[in-house]
Order: sequence, then structure tokens, then C-alpha cells
Amino acid sequence: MLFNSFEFLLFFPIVVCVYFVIPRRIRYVWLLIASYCFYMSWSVKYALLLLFSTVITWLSGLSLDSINRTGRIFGCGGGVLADASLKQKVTKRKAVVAVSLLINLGILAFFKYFDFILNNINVTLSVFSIEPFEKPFDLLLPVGISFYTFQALSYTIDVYRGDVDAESNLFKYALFVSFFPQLVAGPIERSKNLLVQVEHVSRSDLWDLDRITRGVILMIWGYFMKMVVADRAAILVNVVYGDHLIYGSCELILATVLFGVQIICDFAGYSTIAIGAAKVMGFELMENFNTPYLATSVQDFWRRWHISLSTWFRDYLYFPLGGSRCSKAKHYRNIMIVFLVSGLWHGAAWTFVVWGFLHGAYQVVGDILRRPKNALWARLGVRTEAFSWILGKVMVTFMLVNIAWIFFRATSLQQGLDICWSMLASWDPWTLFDGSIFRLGLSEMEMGILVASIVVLALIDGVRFVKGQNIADFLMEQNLWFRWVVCIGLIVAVYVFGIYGPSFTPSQFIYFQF
Amino acid sequence: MATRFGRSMMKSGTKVVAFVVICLLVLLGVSTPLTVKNRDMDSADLSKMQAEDSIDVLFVGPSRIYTNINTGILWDEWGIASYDLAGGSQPLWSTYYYLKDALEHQHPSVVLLDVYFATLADEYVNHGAIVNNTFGGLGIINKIENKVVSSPEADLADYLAEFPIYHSRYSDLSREDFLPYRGIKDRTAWKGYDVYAQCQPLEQDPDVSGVSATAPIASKTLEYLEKIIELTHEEGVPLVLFCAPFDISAEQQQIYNSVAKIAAANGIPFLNFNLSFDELGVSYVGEETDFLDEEHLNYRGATKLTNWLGSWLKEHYDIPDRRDDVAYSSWQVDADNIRAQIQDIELTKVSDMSEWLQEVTREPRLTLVLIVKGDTTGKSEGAAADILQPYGIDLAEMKDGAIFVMRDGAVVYEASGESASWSGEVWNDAIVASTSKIQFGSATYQAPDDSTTALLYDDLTGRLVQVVSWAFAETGSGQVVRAG
Repeated sequence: MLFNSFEFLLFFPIVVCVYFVIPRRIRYVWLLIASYCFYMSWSVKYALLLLFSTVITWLSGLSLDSINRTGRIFGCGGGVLADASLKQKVTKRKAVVAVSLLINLGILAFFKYFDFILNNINVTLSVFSIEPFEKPFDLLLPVGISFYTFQALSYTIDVYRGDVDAESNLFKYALFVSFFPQLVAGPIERSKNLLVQVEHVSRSDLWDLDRITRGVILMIWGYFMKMVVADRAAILVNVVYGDHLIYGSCELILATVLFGVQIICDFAGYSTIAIGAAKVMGFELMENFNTPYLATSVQDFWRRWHISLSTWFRDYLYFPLGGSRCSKAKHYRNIMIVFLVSGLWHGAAWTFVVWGFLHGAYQVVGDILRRPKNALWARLGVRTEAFSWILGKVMVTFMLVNIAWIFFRATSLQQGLDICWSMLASWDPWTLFDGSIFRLGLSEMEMGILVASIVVLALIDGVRFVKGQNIADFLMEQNLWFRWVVCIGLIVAVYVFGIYGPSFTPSQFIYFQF
Repeated sequence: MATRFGRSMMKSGTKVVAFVVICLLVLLGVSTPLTVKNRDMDSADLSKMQAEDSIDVLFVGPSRIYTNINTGILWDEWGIASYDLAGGSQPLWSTYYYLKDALEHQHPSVVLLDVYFATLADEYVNHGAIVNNTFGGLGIINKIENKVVSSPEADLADYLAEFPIYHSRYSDLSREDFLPYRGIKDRTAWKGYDVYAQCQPLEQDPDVSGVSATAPIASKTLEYLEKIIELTHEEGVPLVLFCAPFDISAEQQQIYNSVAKIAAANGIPFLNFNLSFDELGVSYVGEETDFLDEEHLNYRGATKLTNWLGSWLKEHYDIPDRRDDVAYSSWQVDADNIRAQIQDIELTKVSDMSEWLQEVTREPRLTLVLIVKGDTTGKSEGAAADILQPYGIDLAEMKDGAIFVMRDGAVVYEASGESASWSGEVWNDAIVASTSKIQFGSATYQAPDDSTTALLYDDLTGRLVQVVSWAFAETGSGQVVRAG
């Protein structure tokens, strides 16, 4: 079930009410049942896959723990015997991690990349006029597989590294993997954050109106972002990208910028609802977005965008590859590997690879040019701490990110390239003033609502940027009447201007396809 | 400490409840202008407002009921207190729930069901028809059951909640959405009949008299036809099935032949007017036909059908004459309104200015705003001047135009000159006139040069009748002025 569905609006209050009423020690059991019911609303058989992945990684944690303890019994003292035992332990532990990685990533690769690999093999074969392979079966990508696989694998690696103890209770561990607010689209949680909290909620009195209110405010804000902003922007984006050849530069630029708005509001909206829902139940999930479009560089962008994924790649791929503590060439290689893999993680298509490539290339080129640039600015006497300079950096970063979004949104490489070309070649600024932009799926009134809602978004992000507070924390500092006016205003905005109902095609969250 | 905790819990609980209540009130306030409003909603809502056991004859069915059955004639001729409870494209399952709901508060002498949609073979009607036939003011249980039966499973939640359907109407909001019953005058007295003037001619009238075969009625439609029969039987209310005339096909007649069998098996009269075009005197042929379109009668056809039905009902059922009962005054208001609308339609067909003015000035309910545009100096002779003279209007002195307002045959306001103007409040609107144009509400009517332009407003119905213009020299043929 989607967050923006009747089913969830019924499901969540029921789950929460029971959660607060039942004895503390069985809260996690109730949440586990609820989480599996949540997931099974998509597919019962893919819930078995989730269970399988859960059991494998749980067993891997227990195995690693068992190996550790076995070594401790016999490994006291020094000597050749202790060294051999230690080497054996390390080998066994590595083997356990390798098996866990292989199985889980294998499942992910199978469901996600089988068609992509087959298609590319067939394209290659057709070049040599060899008969292509037939597709033996149709595969449906299990919802959220990329997210829960990464979350489960992070546990295996964390246990291996000794960052967390293995969890002996399968049900508590299963809840960590399947916790419904963040199951299908993140944030990708770490065991040292979420698993610990599973234990905490089993013991604590969770009734705290202040915390629950903050959670509800975050949910309301998430719904506003998704249903008023993201889904409205999507209407224009779909019209233009659906028929890109007939549109000129201005329409394509507008659609691409609005796609940037759509994707942040869609994804951050989902994350905000997830964080809010978890908070209501006493869980603190990690922040996933922090005003990414106010980044002053692409590197800074990735510290603010999909933080849970970028930190996952940092901790489990970038650092093991050597990170930046190596030669420049290897450093750049590591960056490119991480972003190419990140691109592929987002989707099994060359457009996502190009998107990842661009982000990697931006950072490599940015790093190469950093010293000469700084020298040039110093020579020219540019005030790099001035607001105007920072604003310029923000705008350039925004532009670079939007160029990459073209490929993220395009349905093929050809379309992406066509759009890039048309943006440069079909320049007709009059389309901005002759009413053409109101014939792209959004009427004048709808465009006005979109602009107004983006202004509201910018205000809230501004508060976040300046005060470091999210909307819930900010409102909780205000007087009751103001808080109520804002909350009721947002609820009314979602109720009236939300994109839902038979007039609109129900739109899933973008990141569900991952 | 427990008391402090208890007080704290109470304070928290009060805040939560207060927030939820305020939020719901705001949402309710916001929803009111957004909800779907049309005559189909009015039909269901107002049927519940009728006094208990006040309706003597209840007509149910699709839109053909509200175009074909003139409740005003039934009242004027026989004092019959009737009600047209109908919805556009209403399938029989919705008719069943409408009827069931109505019979909880009414016990009419007879119920008449137009079985036009006995031909419906689909499981569900279109989205608009589902909304129009399930959002109206039925009791909660009947409303829910109606929605469950009417909606595809995938969309049921949307139809049950309703706001997913109407929340997006913000882009279509007009002043009407903020007025009770869309600002229609005396709507609470309305008994469901709407006057339609349009004509649909065809080359010939259909003839299905030779069709004797039957065709099966679709299972869902049949189920609810039988439920309607059973319901009226259980409630002890006589039922009459009928099918008003329309551009019927042989296939449709086969279905109605099946209906005739069911009616006969249940001892229910079935009046198929498609076999009685001549008897009714209705026809698709000619300039002024009796039909609005392929499915509906216009006001002329409705008059003929209603007169026939009224006589038949009085002959076959014991229906009281309520004309002397003050509790039934709303039926009189409704009848007066319908009569006025029909008279207004007839008025619009009069093209000659002199004849038109004579008719208009006879009716005290009509307000006439006349603007004279152009230099009429010295034009004391001529068609327009002669026609207006008897009303005390002398065009000879009107060099730069003039405005006249007439009520009950007399001029109640006059002004001349370029800057002459007049404004008057009417039901939910205002009329503003200058010597070059007339504004009615948000519509503006530009007066042609050298002409007399008239805006005719009916104070009884609260409606604009027409805006028509005659050139000074050609008063025999009026030209309708469109808003621009």
C-alpha cells in the first residue's frame, strides 16, 4: 500500500493505537506483523523473499558472532597456534560475509538486472547477426528490494567489523529489516541506530505527546511535498518528456527543472512521512535529505541528497576501496566506481549509468580544477565568502544536477541526448510569455498553485538552512495557535490541492521502482 | 503524582480532541463549496425535505423523468402532489435505493417507474453517472449500499469518501457554489421537473409496433427490477412501469417486451408509450417537435405525456386533490414557476416587437429593461417610435440614447443622454444598463447601433428570459443578442 492511499490512512492509526495499548515487551512483535502485512499488500510471494534475505543475514550475524567466540575460547595467549587460529577465524568470517553478500546481491542482481543484461547481450549478438536469446520468463521487481537488501547487508558488515553485536532474536532482527515506515524506499537504516531502538521501545514508556506531535507534523509535511508539489510537477514533466521532440528549449528546461522539484519532493516527501511515522511510534530514523538544492558543489550535494544511500556507499564501498587515502588516480577511480554503481542501483538502464557517470565526473573534474580555480579567484580578487559568490555556486550546482536529471528521467539515452541538443538548439523565449507553458498539462491556475507551493517549500527549507530545524522542531517552538494554523493550512492544502482521486492517475513514489 | 499525571493526560487529550474537531470543521467548511451540485443532487436532497407522507404520486427513474413528467400540470389540472425523483443515466440499482429511501418517509398512492434503463447491459455506468446517482442525500445505509452496488471495487473507496471525487473542483468553482441550491429561486419548492425547450427533429417517428420478440434483460438490471417490484409490494404501494416515447430501436423494444412479461406476471400495469406516438400526439417530425433529443421529451412533449398520465392516474387510482390544502403550498409555487417558464419560452418565439411588447407588458412578473441606442431625433414616425408611443415613450427627443425600465406595463424609470444609466437588484444578481450595453450578472450584452434592445427578466422564476434587439426600421424581426 502507498503512503498516499486510503488503506494506509486506515492501517497506520490502527497499528499505532494497538502499539500503544499492548504490553511493551510485545510491541516489536506487533510491529513485525504490521510490517509484513504492509509488505504483503504488494505481494505475498515477495514477502517470502524478504524473509529469506532476513534469515540469511541474521544467520550470517550469528555465524560471525559464533566464530568470534570460538576464537576467544582457544585464542588466548600468543604463539604460532594462536596466529593460525586467528587466520582461520578471519578466513571463516570473510567467507560468511562473502556468502551473505553473494546471496543477497545475487538475488538483487537477478531481479533487477537480468532483463538489462539479457537485453544488452542480445543487442551485442544482433550486431554480429547472431540470433538473440529469448526471455525465459517475466520478472517483476520486488518493491523495495534495493533498500532492504542494503539495509540487511549493512548489518552483516557491521557485525563483521565489530560495530554491532549480533542480534540473537530473529523477530527483533526481522523488524529491523522490515520496519514498514522505511521498508520500501528508505531511509536505509544502520543496525547500530535502528536495531538498538527496537530494544529500547520494548522497554520504554513511549507516550510523549510532544514527540508524537512532531511525528504527525512531519507526516503532514511529507504528504504536502508529495501530493501537492511532486505529483503536480509530474503532470507537466510527463507531458513534455512524453513527447519531447515537439518541444523547444524553454519547455524542456522548465520540465527538467520541475523534474528536479518532483524528485526531491517525491523522495523527500516519502522519507519525511517515514521519519514522522517512525517518530510517532518512538523510533528516530536518520535524516535523508538536507536542503540538497542549496548545495554549493556536487560533492556538497551528495552530503545532502539521499544521505542514507550516499553514506552506505561511502562506508561499504568507497572506504573499502581506499576512499581518498590513496593516489589521486585511485581516488578518482574510487569516486567513479561508487557513482557508476550508484547509478546502476537506481535503475537497470544506461540512462542511470550516465546519470551516475555525470555525478562522478563532476566531482573528479571539480577536484582536478580546484587548485587552479582557487588560484585564479585569488588572482582576480574574487570574494569567495561573499553571498553573491555562494549564490552563484548554488546556481551552478543546481544547473549541473539538473543536467544529470535529464538522463535520470529520460526513457532512453537517445531521448536524453535529444533533449540536451534541443535545449541548446531550439531556443524560443517567447514560449514563456505567449501562454504556451499553460498548455503543458498544467493550466494557469494549476501552475499558480505549483509556484505557491514551491514558495512554501522554499520557506520551510530556508528555515532549515538558517536555523538547522526541520518544520516539526520549528513549529514546536511556536505558539499553539500558529502551530495549529500552519498544520490545518497544510492539511487543507493536501485535501483540496492534492493530486489524488479519479481525476488524476494515482502516482507512486518515484523511488519505488528501485 | 497520579493526579498530576491524570491532569496532564486530560490536558493532552483535550488539545488533541480540540485540534481534530477544529480541523474537521475547517475541512467541512472547505468542502461545502467543493461538493458536486447539480439537479440530480437537488432531486435526492429535496425529496427528503418533503413533509412526511406528503407525496401522492412518485415518479422514479433516469433523466427522462425530470424532462418528461411535468409536476406543475399534475398539480394545476388535478391537484396531484407528485415528485420526480430521478438522476441522469440512473441505472435500476440506484433507482432501487432511491425508492427504498423515499419509501421510508413517504407512502404514495402510486409509484411510476420509467424502465428505459431496462436495456442497460453494463455492470457499471460511467463515472459521472455514478457520482450523480450515489452522492445525493439518501440515508446513510441506503447511500452506502447504493455506492457499493454502483461502483467498481477498485474505485469504491473514492466514491464512499466522496472528497477524492470533488476536491479537485476548486478550478471550476463559481458564485453558484456558494449559494444555496446554486442560487435558483424557490428551489426548495421544486418537485423535480425541469423545462426544456430545445427541439430534435428526425425524418420520421420510430415504429416498433411489429416487434413482438423478446430479448433477455441483463442479470444485474433484472435483479434490481425485481427488487423494485418486491419492495413496492412489501410496502403496499402500487407500482406502474412505463416507458416514455423516444427514438427507440427494435432491439430496445425487444427488451421492453420482456419487461411487459414481467409486469404481467406480477400484475403490474406497463405503459409503453413507444407504441402510442399517435395516441399521445407526439412526433419527431417537423420544425417544432416534441422531443429534446433521441431520449427525452421537451416541454411540449412533456405536456402531452403528463396530461395523458394525469387522466389515467385519476381514473385508476384514488389520488386526493390537494389544491385547497395549505400544507401543499409548495406545489402551487412549483406549478406557478413551471407555468411561468413555459410562458417565457413561448414569449421568446415572438419576433415582432409590437406583439412582443404587448405580451410582455401583460405579465406583472416580468421586468423589462429597454435601451435605445442611436440618434432618434425626428424619428417620431417609423416602426419603433410608433410601437413605443402607447407606453409613453417618445423617441423623437432621444438624441443620444435612452434607458427605460418597465414593470406591469408601465415605465417606472427613464433616462436619456450618453451618460444615462440604471441599475437594479434582482434575485442573486444585478442588472446594470447604459445606452450602449446591458450587464446581467457577469454577462455583458452589447446593444447594436440604431436599435432598441430589450432585456427581459422574470421576477417569479428569478431567471433571465432573453435579450433581444430590433433595428429602428425593422421591428418585425427581433435578433437575439448573445453575451460577449
